[in-house]
Amino acid sequence: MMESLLTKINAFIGKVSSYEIYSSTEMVLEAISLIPVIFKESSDLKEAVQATRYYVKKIVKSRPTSVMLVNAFRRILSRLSKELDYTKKCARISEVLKEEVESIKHDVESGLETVAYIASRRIRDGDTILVNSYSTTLLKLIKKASERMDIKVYVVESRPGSEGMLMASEVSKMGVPVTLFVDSAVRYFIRDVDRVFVSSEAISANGAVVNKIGTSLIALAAHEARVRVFVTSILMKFSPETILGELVQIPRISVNRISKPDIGEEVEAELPLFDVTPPEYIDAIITEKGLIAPEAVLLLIAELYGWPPKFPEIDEELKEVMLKAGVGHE
Amino acid sequence: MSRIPSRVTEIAEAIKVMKIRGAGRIARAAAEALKIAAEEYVGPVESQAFLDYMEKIGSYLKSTRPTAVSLPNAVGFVLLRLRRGFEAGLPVPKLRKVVIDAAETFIRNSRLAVEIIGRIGSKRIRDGEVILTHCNSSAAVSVILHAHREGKRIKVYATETRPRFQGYITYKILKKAGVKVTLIPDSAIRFFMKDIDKVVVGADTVTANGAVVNKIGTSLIALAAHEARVRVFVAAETYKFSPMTVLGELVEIEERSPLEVVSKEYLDTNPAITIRNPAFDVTPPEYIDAIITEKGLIPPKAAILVLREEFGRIIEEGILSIVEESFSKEF
Repeated sequence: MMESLLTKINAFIGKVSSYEIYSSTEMVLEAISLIPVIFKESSDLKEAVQATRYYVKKIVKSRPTSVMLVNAFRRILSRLSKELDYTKKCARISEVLKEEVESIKHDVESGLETVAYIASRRIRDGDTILVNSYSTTLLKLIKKASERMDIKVYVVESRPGSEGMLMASEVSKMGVPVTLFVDSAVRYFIRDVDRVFVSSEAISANGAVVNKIGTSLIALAAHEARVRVFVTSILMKFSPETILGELVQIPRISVNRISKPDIGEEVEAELPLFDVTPPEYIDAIITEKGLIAPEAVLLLIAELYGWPPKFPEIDEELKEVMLKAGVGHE
Repeated sequence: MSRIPSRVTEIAEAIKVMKIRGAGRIARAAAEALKIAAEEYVGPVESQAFLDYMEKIGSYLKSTRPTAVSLPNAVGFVLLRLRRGFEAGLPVPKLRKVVIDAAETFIRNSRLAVEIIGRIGSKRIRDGEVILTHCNSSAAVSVILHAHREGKRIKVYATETRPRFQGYITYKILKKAGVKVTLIPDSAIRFFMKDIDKVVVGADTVTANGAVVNKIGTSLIALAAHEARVRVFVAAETYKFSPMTVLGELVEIEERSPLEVVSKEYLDTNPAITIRNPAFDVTPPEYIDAIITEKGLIPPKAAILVLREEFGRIIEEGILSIVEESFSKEF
């Protein structure tokens, strides 16, 4: 593999695994954009598919929770595989994949728009809504809602990454009144809140939502106070694998990578990055196809992937691509 | 009237800026301050002047932190004895000694209470259990350390406790004692709750109905524990029980500076963001399995028993003063 390409790939994987990109959607869109680049910059097809395999395997592993990442790569690889039946020219393939990336981006963006629109209709004038972490979908939703009515936004700091600070800052720039507080103050403030909106990293077959650590705690506190909880999610975040019993993996970081007071020694810390909110605590999941009960996720998965759901594994697709490109496994 | 000695203002300032923190430490520091004030009194020889001076110092100390009831209770413990001495007609040198003795007794009892709570509480912890604690409470730490010294192989999760990271202090103390301890962010409580056998936390104030006012986040931990059917123990000395709540008074929750949550730079670049920083929250008695006091382990709803026992006289006085106040307003 070319040195410059390898450096590029590894640099991006480094960024993803250190969670430098706050929004999971932004991360996925950036991740797939690298595939056409690989085909453009490789000297031949063999090098390109080998680099693709190396990159896809690594990046999927570095962000095991992101179902959208898997689903997006599934789409790219399937397009690549189809294209290999017609041509073996890297330049041409790069063009085609670039189109596919654009098409995914378009689907995602129009999906997010629709989700934000539907979600904003669940907000009433004068509502106080609570959000956590940093999410482009939620920002869109807040923007849409604030254009039509007066709302107040409560943002939770969202340790360990403190993404809530950026979220609060962005909301504030829209001219919407925003209040920021620490994660542990959620139960203290929940009674002032009318609705909770959270984004998602992945949605499993039983309607459980994987999202930024602390989400399930917020949902629990909301449930106790009888405050409604809404999850925004485009369909690309639905995990067909979980129908087959697969668990969504939660990565943990065991060193303290975040700012901490100087106590003059190393500390042992465990930082899970996501948690799972059970469907009982979720009032509705809002997708681009409409608002559904979490227990009805299965219906949408059946519509998307058939019943029983059929979808190729990333590894299988990679194997097929290698085969078609005439590259053996080494 | 005599001026407040500088060593007293230093202690008061340290309580205010949280250099001295934790309900127990604050209470002992306040008793110490009263003792110093009595020792350094240089005013008139009339008993009334000395009483006024001490009452003034008492109010001054009480004003430093609104939520911690241990502070007024410590001041009340000492001043009650001073008032009794004054009513008995004692001269200033004798009254001075009354204050010094009372302060020393309070400090001694307080230290002893933490020790006894540790001994009682550790009996509830079994070999191999995983404990979750929040913030930095000397009473809760005492329970954990006693269990550890008894040879129970326990593992502790300590929350980092935003905004001030007191969890790091707990971490350091436990680590030094050889306890297996791991820090977790406050947002990860529910994630870890399934692995936890018991929650042990401290308290700033226990109210008449058994609700516990403690570091922000405690009620969220108790809720998550309740959901997972994990037992919750609150380690609290009896001087943390609030007599005024018997009279219907609500515990005031202190909101502290936004600079504890975000940097000055963040505030400056985001002038429109409101930062809220409540220091405490209230855990309802339903989520608490037991309160461990130096007098024994009690169900939270029996808090009134402890209050009767410890502050019977103060309750009477409180009721009297309220009655007097409303009378003077009416006529």
